[in-house]
Amino acid sequence: VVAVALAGTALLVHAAGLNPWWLLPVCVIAALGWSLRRATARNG
Amino acid sequence: VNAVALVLTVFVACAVEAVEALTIVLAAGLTREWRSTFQGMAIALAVLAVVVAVVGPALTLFPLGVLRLVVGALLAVFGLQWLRKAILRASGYQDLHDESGIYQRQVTAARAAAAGGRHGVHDWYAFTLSFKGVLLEGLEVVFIAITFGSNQGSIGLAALGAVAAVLVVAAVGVAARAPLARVPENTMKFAVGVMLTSFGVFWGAEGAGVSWPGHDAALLVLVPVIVLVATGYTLLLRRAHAAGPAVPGRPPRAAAGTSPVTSGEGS
Repeated sequence: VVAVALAGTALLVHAAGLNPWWLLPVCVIAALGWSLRRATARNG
Repeated sequence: VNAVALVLTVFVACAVEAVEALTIVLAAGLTREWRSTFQGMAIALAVLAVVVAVVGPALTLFPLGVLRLVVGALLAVFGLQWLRKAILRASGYQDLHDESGIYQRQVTAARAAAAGGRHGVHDWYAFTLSFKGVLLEGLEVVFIAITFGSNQGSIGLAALGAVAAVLVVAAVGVAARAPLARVPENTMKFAVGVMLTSFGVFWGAEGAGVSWPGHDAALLVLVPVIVLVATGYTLLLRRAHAAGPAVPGRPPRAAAGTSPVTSGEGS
């Protein structure tokens, strides 16, 4: 997720000329939530 | 602000790993033999010094943008793993790290292992136990110190934080001659997870070409946001864990502690 978010950020910066500073924090927070959800579903 | 955060993050991360290494060294030294234990520790420290001497200067050869992209990604992944573990422990889904329990298991294994020397080492078991413990815990610290230091351009400050933590933990360990079971390890793990994730996101995005609003001051927003989100996840999971699965007739599990991160630790 982190690698994909970084690739997406770089793409938006260099190809579209945007400044998506928010993209990586949002993806990291979502990744943490998703990872916790998977772990708790497994552990019960 | 970044220099203080750098030293504090490296200090706390190093202290967590040093506490774990101390437990192993004490188990080897007190139950087997101190001389072989110190030999294992010394060789592990020498290997770590070589890693620092080789990897540290090598990192300066990369352009800063590439370095921040790669190191940012690694730190974010690393930080998320620390944070995930700390949240799962604080919410009751995983057992808290029990330094006394780990020490007892190591002591039992050390007592049961056969005596014998090899390659000029009097007690090979004590040597390898101490060597592996110090090397494995140390590699994590070296990674954090080198990546933080090189990105901030202050390897010296990072080294200062790491050495200070090792000295403090070693001094307390020597004084107590027992594993440091009262250290609030989960809180420290939570704090380091927050800092690694925040710095990883900051540097990773910068390496990808992003210009942060407010430049370095963005970290003053990023760190509290990650703290709030992680605390929120902890509280949500703790509530879910306390409620337990919806089984008719089954009472809900008791919620542990009051603080979102420290529940039941250091006791």
